[in-house]
Amino acid sequence: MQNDEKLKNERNMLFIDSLADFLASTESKSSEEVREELIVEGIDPDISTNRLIEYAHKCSMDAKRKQLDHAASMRNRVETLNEKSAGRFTALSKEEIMKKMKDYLASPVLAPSFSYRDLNKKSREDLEAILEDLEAAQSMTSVDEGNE
Amino acid sequence: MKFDLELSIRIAEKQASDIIKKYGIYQPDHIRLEDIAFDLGVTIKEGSLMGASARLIRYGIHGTIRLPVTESNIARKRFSTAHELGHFVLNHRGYSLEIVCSEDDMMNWYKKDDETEANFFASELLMPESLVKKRCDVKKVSFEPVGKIAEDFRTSLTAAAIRFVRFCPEPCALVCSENYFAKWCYTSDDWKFFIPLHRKLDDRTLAADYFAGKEMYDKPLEIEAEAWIENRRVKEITEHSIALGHYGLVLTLLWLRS
Repeated sequence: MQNDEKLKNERNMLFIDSLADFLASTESKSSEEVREELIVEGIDPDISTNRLIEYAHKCSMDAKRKQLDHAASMRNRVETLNEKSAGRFTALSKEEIMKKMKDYLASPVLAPSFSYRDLNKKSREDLEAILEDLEAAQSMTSVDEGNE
Repeated sequence: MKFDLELSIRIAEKQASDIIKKYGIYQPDHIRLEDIAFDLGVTIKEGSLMGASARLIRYGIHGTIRLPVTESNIARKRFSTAHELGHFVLNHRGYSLEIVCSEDDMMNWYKKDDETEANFFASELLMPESLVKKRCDVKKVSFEPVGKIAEDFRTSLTAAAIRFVRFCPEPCALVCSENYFAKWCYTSDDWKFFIPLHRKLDDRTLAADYFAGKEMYDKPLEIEAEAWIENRRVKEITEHSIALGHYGLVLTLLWLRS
């Protein structure tokens, strides 16, 4: 499948190169003359134009997806960091976890409409997991800062 | 559907569709959910999570989605992730710092507005209209093309069936039944018939066979239309029912041949 794709890309690039060379040699000719010459060479200009547009669109889409490759490598780094810090709150009591969470919640970064009334009802394990998730979200802030 | 909900659903879908365009997605395997989420500021973790399918914790412009480590079904994991990402992207505010969603939230398509919006967002993100619509243009309505969509896009059959009904050019409907009762239904735009909900299923339906403990016929079958719809002019309707063992539900596709 990947080889087919590679072959297709190579053929498209070869076609573009040949077309560019051909067009360079027809500078003094009108569009109609160029069209006729292409037809004589066995190339349908309309089909070729559509093929080129399709190829350019695909290249543009592939380029956009590169952003996800970058995200994937950053994500791997963050996940490694998160794995290293997993279990760091295991030794903390429920009260200590609550205190740490309230420090987070007091942060001006969080939307003020959030409340934490129900947190008292949660188990120590639930709170530990929430704190871990808050830390994971916070680590994303560091990633953003690192990127700037 | 209420007009404001209809509008907010369209907005939710548009947000998902913009994400699809932003990342140049034109094949199902391009929908790399974890990378998309990360690029949008959300990390996904698996860990202990009691009594929920997924949970979103927000912190400013970032978030963490937690999935229960006990969940092994890829389709459910993907839908839960996309659903929570929907809450994040659509700026839904939870009652607490977290948004906890149960399996029930994801199976009830008309329950709460935010949940419905997140479901439609997830559907568009996982099964973009641009990639799915042509697969729904079939001559015969059945779960066969639905299953193919679910397989290729790695989603649940329910989510794929809703997309199918949405884009299928034939008048069709999806009904979800539980414990002998039709729980909810989703119909195509040109479906003009009333499907009574919260009423015991007619014994002539294939779906009723499942709840009666009988072997359910697993292919599309023409049955008397009034077993499903309230319209005396329509004599026959095609029913294809499938049991969702995990949830104890039956999904039914109804089709009126044009």
